[in-house]
Amino acid sequence: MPTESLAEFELLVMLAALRLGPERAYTVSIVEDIRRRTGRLVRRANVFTALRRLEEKGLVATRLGDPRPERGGRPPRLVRVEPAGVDAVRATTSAIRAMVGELGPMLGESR
Amino acid sequence: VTGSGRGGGAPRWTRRLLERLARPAYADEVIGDLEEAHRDRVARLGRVVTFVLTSVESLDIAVALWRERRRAPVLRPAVHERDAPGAPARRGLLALSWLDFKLGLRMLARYPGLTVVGGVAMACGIAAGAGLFEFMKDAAFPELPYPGAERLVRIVTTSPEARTASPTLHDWEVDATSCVL
Repeated sequence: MPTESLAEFELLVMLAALRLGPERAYTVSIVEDIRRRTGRLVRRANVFTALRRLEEKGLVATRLGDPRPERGGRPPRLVRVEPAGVDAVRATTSAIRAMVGELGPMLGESR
Repeated sequence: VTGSGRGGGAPRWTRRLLERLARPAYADEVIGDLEEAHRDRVARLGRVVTFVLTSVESLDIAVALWRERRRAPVLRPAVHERDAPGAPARRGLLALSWLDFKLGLRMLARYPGLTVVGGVAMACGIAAGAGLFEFMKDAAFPELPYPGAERLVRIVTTSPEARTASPTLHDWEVDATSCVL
């Protein structure tokens, strides 16, 4: 099966899920992680939709965690990035790096 | 489950809205996210601003849930049931099930433009057919200019006996068994 290619927003969601790990990655924490790192105001509805799409593609798997009082006693849906998802992230970031290539200085990158 | 709107949780109507729209498997997750974000905002931004933000966000999520429900093919149950391995082959009207009927209604609701165009096309077709029928009927069978013209009949006979016996209207009246002359 060919490696999936990720859209930009999907890539952000996948990277956040990878960073947070399978015990801490869920919609709210992913929104917060993307906001904190990129400064973007991310809509939770978009993250929800992106996660459903990624799950359908088999790039992430989800499960319900334990109920939490701060969530009104409801559980979060924890996200785990599957090996196919890691491959997709790797392929997408590699493509971006390859395309940026020697344009780094022009784009104001340090290296 | 706590959170009654007044007790620091998200407004009740937002939870009810999402409960109605979310698939059962996602309802707890979605409402839990709403509650968590709401409580976090209350601490940072105060109740009034949070009420507005949570309301707007819940509408945004409601739209996403609505789209997600529509995106999931409503075709699946009907198609799967019919194409399931071992399902008996059905022909004619038996091939139509209640699911097909519901699917048809959903498709009509999903594509209102197409529904309107189809409805107008059918109306035009029916009107054209009815108009042509009336026109041809008047041309082929013009109504006679007498009162009760539709009751007038012309009686002819081609039987060999009639040529020799030359029956009168009275004979017809006497012999008629299936009509009154």
